[in-house]
Amino acid sequence: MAITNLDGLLAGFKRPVFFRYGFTGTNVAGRPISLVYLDGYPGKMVAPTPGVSGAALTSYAGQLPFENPTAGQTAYLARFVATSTVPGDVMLCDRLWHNSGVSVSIGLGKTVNSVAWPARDNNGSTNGEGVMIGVEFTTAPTAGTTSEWSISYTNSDGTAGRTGYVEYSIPTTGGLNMFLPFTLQGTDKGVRSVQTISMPAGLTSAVISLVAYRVLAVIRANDDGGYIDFTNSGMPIMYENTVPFIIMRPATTTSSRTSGMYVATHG
Amino acid sequence: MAITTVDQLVAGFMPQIWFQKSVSPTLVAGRPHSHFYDAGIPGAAAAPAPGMSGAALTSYEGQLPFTNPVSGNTYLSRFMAMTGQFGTMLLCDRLWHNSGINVTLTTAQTVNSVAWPARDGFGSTNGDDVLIGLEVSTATGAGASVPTISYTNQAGTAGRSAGLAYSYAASSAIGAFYPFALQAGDTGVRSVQSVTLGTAGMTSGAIHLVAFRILAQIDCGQGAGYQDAFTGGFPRLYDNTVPFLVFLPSTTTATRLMGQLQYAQG
Repeated sequence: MAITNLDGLLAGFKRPVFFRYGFTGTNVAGRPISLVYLDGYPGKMVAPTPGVSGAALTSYAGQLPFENPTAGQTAYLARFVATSTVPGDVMLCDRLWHNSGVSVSIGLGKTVNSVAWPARDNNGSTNGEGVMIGVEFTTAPTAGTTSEWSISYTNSDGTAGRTGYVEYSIPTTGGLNMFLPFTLQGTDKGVRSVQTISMPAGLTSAVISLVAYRVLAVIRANDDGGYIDFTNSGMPIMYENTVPFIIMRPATTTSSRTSGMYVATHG
Repeated sequence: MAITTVDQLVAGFMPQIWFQKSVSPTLVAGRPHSHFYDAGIPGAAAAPAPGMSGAALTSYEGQLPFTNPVSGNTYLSRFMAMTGQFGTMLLCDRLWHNSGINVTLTTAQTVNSVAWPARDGFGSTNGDDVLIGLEVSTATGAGASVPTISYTNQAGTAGRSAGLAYSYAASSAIGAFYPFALQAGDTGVRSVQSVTLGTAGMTSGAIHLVAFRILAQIDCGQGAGYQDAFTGGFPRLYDNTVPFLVFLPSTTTATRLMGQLQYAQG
């Protein structure tokens, strides 16, 4: 079944889900941060601990609440609103997998061998189309040498040995909660699994997690907010057991506070 | 029964409800303000006086108007607001509030809130999507309080604790509204057991705890914002909803607001 008309859209609206996150630390203009470890509501996440091969996620304490549709129905994102005290891009994402235990000391080819993703790529499969990898810092580095980290992954077509590089320069100090995406190689459309991560130079004392995620929606939020609704969002599908969380890319260095809501519709 | 078609939506439109509020106190950028005590339409509410355990609310003088449907459900079909400055306007349901908090006491004060009405995110008393705010009804003094609450979460787990999502500022004006955060993993509050104002207290003034659920959020860019049945997600308003407004200003200035609400019932 699917929503194909306004009646279906209207009949399927679910309760709005609100979020509000406290002040970040000092931001870096253009560098994304994961908001889910900040005080607010829902209550914040705790850092993952499933080990280097990670865990496929169907829920995780600290996510934005999500209601599964009843059998035979599909959930769609119908509205996403966000306000931030500084301008920035606010992304509503689905968190498919995350890991822990990857050392930030120097080393090439560190084993990850991620477990299979849940069936929540762009097409509702485990292939990985539209799935990206980010590195999330739950403890900031205090010293070290900056370098270009890379991952070796299998793409959504099943081709192994692909390489992605972290998009942003990794700082040697500071950067709590930063969420740095890896690029894809060539014309790849997504990541099916991660085999290794390489760090040509090391950091001191940071704690990181690799996260497999899919962006559901992005809006530009200012102090007067930004939003999308069913008319301009394309109504992305939120597959069963979606684990919604928020990434923000601030446009200024000023610490920021972000709030908003999303509404799903089922049919 | 429920509204599931556009035809039913159109047939269920209720008359528009106008609201306007006189100039607020000087607001603080990023600090929420409750319009509950501001003069205007509706008139200013009187400060609650039900005692520490509070009262579950089915109506309260000073709320935005709400009438239960003859049959079926009530939904928010339209919400618009125009303000004197940029900011975010929240339409909230006020489920419970209390009184009698000693603003000079720095030790834990027993609340043991009475049960909420069945108006959480799912229409139950469990507390999903229910948040707690600290609302000022008489301007507070110079004490730099750091309030915390001990509560039971939406799953029935007791002993949860949280501080404010926005830091309390000494000498807060009437209407200052400070939502509490939630403890890691929680999605709502089922009841409040105690409140502690921290080592400093507030010196003077009157404050209340308020259990509320956010129904809608609109961003008043260029001073105006709105949502309709489709763009707003058509949220359900359960019977005996007690609507009130909370504004998150973008600048430090006083503001006045006006706007409209409309419900659809069926």
